Amino acid sequence: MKLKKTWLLISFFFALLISVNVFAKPQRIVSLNLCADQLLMALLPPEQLIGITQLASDPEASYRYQEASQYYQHTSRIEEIMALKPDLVVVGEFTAQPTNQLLEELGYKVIKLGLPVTIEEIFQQVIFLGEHIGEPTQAEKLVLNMREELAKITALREKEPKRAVVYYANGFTAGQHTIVNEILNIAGLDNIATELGLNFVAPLSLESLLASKPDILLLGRLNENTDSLAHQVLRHEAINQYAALRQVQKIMIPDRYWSCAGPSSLAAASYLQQHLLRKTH
Amino acid sequence: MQVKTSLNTRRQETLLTLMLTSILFILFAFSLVVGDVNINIINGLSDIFNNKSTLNAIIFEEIRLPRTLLAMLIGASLGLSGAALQGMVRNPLAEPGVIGVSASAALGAVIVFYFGLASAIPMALPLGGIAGALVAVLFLYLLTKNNNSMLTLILAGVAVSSLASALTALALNLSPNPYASLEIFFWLMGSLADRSFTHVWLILPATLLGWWLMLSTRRDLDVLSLGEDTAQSLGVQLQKLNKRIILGAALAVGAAVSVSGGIGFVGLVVPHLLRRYVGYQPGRLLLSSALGGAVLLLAADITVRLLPTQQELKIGVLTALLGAPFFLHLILKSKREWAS
Repeated sequence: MKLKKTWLLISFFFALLISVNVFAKPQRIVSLNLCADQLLMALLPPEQLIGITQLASDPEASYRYQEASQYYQHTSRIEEIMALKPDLVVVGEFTAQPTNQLLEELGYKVIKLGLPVTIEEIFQQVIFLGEHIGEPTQAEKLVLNMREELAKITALREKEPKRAVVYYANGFTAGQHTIVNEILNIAGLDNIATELGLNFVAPLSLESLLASKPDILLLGRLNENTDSLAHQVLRHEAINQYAALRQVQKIMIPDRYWSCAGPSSLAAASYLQQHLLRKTH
Repeated sequence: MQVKTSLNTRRQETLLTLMLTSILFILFAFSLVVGDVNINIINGLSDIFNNKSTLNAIIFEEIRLPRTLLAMLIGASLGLSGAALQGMVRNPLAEPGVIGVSASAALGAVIVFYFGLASAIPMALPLGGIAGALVAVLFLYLLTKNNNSMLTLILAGVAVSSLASALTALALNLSPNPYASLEIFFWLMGSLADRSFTHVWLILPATLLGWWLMLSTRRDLDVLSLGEDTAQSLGVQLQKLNKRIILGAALAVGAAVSVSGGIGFVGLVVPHLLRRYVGYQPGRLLLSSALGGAVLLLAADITVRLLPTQQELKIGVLTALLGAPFFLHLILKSKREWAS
């Protein structure tokens, strides 16, 4: 008798827990940040992720640009966000801050994603996001897949790491504390910017670039959309001549691979590795 | 007595030319030595002469040399155009930057550059700049033709400048490239960072033609300083003179701005400083202003490279810091004329 009562009580609690859980699980999630878009698209169907940014379908900026067309893309204006009636808004810690703040003040549930700079931080971020959107198992599955991919890439590394340097538009490079640095290391390359003691994304003069004697030059977006001064430096005659002189390998990697930290970061590492291997064999 | 002063100024002028040339020479050598990387000068030069491609040679030949040459070419264009325009409208405040010619040239270059025309036809870039500059010079010429007061010139310059800058910002915002809107600083303040020989060859023909057109008015400008009527009675064809200066300034400034952005005040400071050494004769001022402009811009560019800023300072910031006080000084000095 007593046992039956206990069972009843337990099952009642279970039912309560499940109902609360289902109730608490956000059903209408809106993303306000390109990197959040990409993580959420990996975890949620369009019915639950009811709004992503317009950048998400830009093939130059977004790794998952093809999938993005299945989702609704909002204009990022606060009135439209409110009209979508979200029960959870995912934003970037460093983007669209006035909008984020106003949404919080208006009582919306907002979670902020930081910028991971190591692969472990990416895993943590995915798990964190999975818990908050009520999809912890999906998130764990994604992390597991990424760990497998990471193991495959690290197994293919060359014994002697080559020295590489990233050169972006406007003569910027990525040093320590950037996901780009981590991607280079995963791919088995030494980052010259880190050797030079540069932190974050920092300017590197053309002269210093050449004097650092890189084996590999990673040029952002050289072949796409070069009608800007920012990209002219990537086509400077000095770079061409130097590359010819030392037989430096130039790898053009589209920005979408490393504009965000996430599954695309491993894709970036493997992209680099494939281009390296193609050259040496 | 007359002959004596004339001889004196001529000697003074020769001395000035010699001095400016030698300063320019020293700066030229210094500019090749200064950079982010310490490289062995002797080795670099010998590699260049032996036609060997080494790191030193590449840094010298492809990075520092074109930058130095551009600073000299553009500085000379700005100084010369300033002096020529001032001679033409007989107003010491006429300067490509102040009267909005640089801003209009930047607008022309921006339209050509960001919408793909310049990558299809490289020559379109300087031509765009020249077209923009020409529109502004013509407008200002027509405006000041009958009303040569300082107030009209400056106010018209402000109007042309702000309109051109606004349209430049608009064009950059409409450009398909995401970096474009950030590059307004370059077009408004100017910079010579990471320019290459491509740019030197692009602007050289238009620049030389512009110089020749302006320098060919040397004698007529001297006569013009006596007044239009006197000049005409002495056989100066005003129409021809104006045409040459307008076209020359548009060619030189338009080409310069299209690869360096708008660098202000060079054409104001240099003629103002040198005027007294050439006996206040606008025609003689031309050549020395060209040399002086080259010296000033090259010195400014070397300074920008030496300043320990994380990102290189835009060169126009430096020339404006130097030039704006001059501008104020000139206005205060000639306050009397404001009434007219």
